[in-house]
Formats: sequence, structure tokens, C-alpha cells
Amino acid sequence: MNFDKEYLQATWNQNLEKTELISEYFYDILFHEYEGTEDLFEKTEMHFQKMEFQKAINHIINNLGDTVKLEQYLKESGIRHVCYGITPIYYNVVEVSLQKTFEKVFQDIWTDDTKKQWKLLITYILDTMKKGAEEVRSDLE
Amino acid sequence: MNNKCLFERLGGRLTLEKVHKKFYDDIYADPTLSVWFKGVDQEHIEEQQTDFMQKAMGGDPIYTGQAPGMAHRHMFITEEHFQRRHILLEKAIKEYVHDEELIQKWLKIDRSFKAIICKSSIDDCEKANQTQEILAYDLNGKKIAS
Repeated sequence: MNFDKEYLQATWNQNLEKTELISEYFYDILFHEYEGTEDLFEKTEMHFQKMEFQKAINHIINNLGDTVKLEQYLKESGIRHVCYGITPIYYNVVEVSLQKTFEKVFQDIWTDDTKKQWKLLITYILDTMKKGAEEVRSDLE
Repeated sequence: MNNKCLFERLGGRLTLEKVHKKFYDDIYADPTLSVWFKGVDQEHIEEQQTDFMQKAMGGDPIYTGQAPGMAHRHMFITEEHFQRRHILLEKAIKEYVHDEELIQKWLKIDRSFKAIICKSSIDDCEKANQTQEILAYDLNGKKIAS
């Protein structure tokens, strides 16, 4: 992983109030820009889903320094998402939605450096989830 | 590369039913874990777990219940509770499945749900509605005040 942990945590901590809007922004962007994605959550209480998503992002930011723990957490998330029926195509959709989400959250400080660092983190998150998913995908589909 | 999904390689629904019968027999007899199932019909919970794992392992997606995180949101389940449960699950699987690779795959999938079920604080629990009670027990099965 190539991201700068201190830089990411500093931007996060300097914008704590705005980071609480991440899950709101993320699902707004996802559902508006990618038709049909809302159907994936038809049996889900979105209030709860957003809370869980927010908790997951908080967990990732708080554990950027513990790569062993973080990698296990993300790989297990990848495994769960295969169980939920999430196929690889959705990773691209989530990647773009996450990039737009962080751009919106950090819009006041969205420099080339900020963009680069958050993009690196998003890539790491999704690549690690995909690694976990690929460990089980052939067994589950 | 095996073309059959894990559900089929395990022997299908019959294996899952047998394992979950043994698993919940042990849970309902366990002082640490049985308290979480007070008033819950064992056959119902066995069937739900079988439906859920059938879907998770690549079988027909007949599970219509809540996602695990939502279903357990009001329960203060700790890593220690989960570990105890995991030991009993492993024991039950090993009674009916004798292929170590398949056993480990099953356990790996089950373990992946730990992060969304376990909580580090009772404050992380949430009631689904006003009448729902927050459930919290220590490892002796004693109720913890919420």
C-alpha cells in the first residue's frame, strides 16, 4: 500500500463533522448514478446500512497503522460480499462512488495531493476486499 | 478447480441441516450461549441458519431473513462469545464433514461475519423498535444491565 497514513488521518481529523456525512453522500451518489444498485438493498433498512457503512469507514481510518488487522478486516468484508451476491463488476461502481464521496466530503481541501491520497486508500480498500472475495468466489458461485 | 460450489461439495442441504441440528443442540445446552436464545424456537433458528448458509455457500438463495448485522444489532455479542460459538460450530461440522479443506472453507465464511456481529461496547447496540430489548450477557450467562 502506498498511501500516507498520517496525511489521511490528519485530513480526516480536521474535517470530523463532515466525515459524518460520508454514508449519506455515498449512497446518494451510488443510487443516483448507477441505476439498479438500490435494488441490492431492497430488504435492508437504509438507516442501519448507512450506520454500518459509517462504522466501517471509521474502523478503516482508525486502523490504518495496523495493516495486519486492517487486511484481515477488509478480506473478510470481501468474503461477506460474495455471500451477499456481489459480483466483481460492482467494485468499479463502488470505487467511482467512493472517490466522488470523498471529493464531496473534503471539497474545501480537495487538492491534487488530497485526491491522490484518498484514491490510493480507496484502491487499497477495494483491492484487499477483492483478494478476500477471490479466495472464496470459485467455491460460492 | 472444482466446478461444484461449496454447498454441493458439502453434500447439499442435508449436511447443513445435520450440522446445524448438532450445533444448536450444543448451543442450547451451553451456559454461555443458551441465554441468547431464550424463547427462540430451536427448529426455527436451525432452519434460518441453514437457509442463510445455503445461500452463502452458493446454493439456492431461499433465505429471506434479515442480514446478520441487522438481525444481531440489539445484541452485545463480544469476540469471546463469537469464539465460543465458533468452537461449537467447528465441533458440529467435524461430526458430519470429514474433508479438512471443506471444514476450513465453511469456518472461513462463518468467521467473515464476526466483524458485523461483534461489538466492543454495549453502546454500539441498537433497538430495531421501541419494544425490542437490548440483550447483553457476560460469559457466565448473567445479564448485563444496559
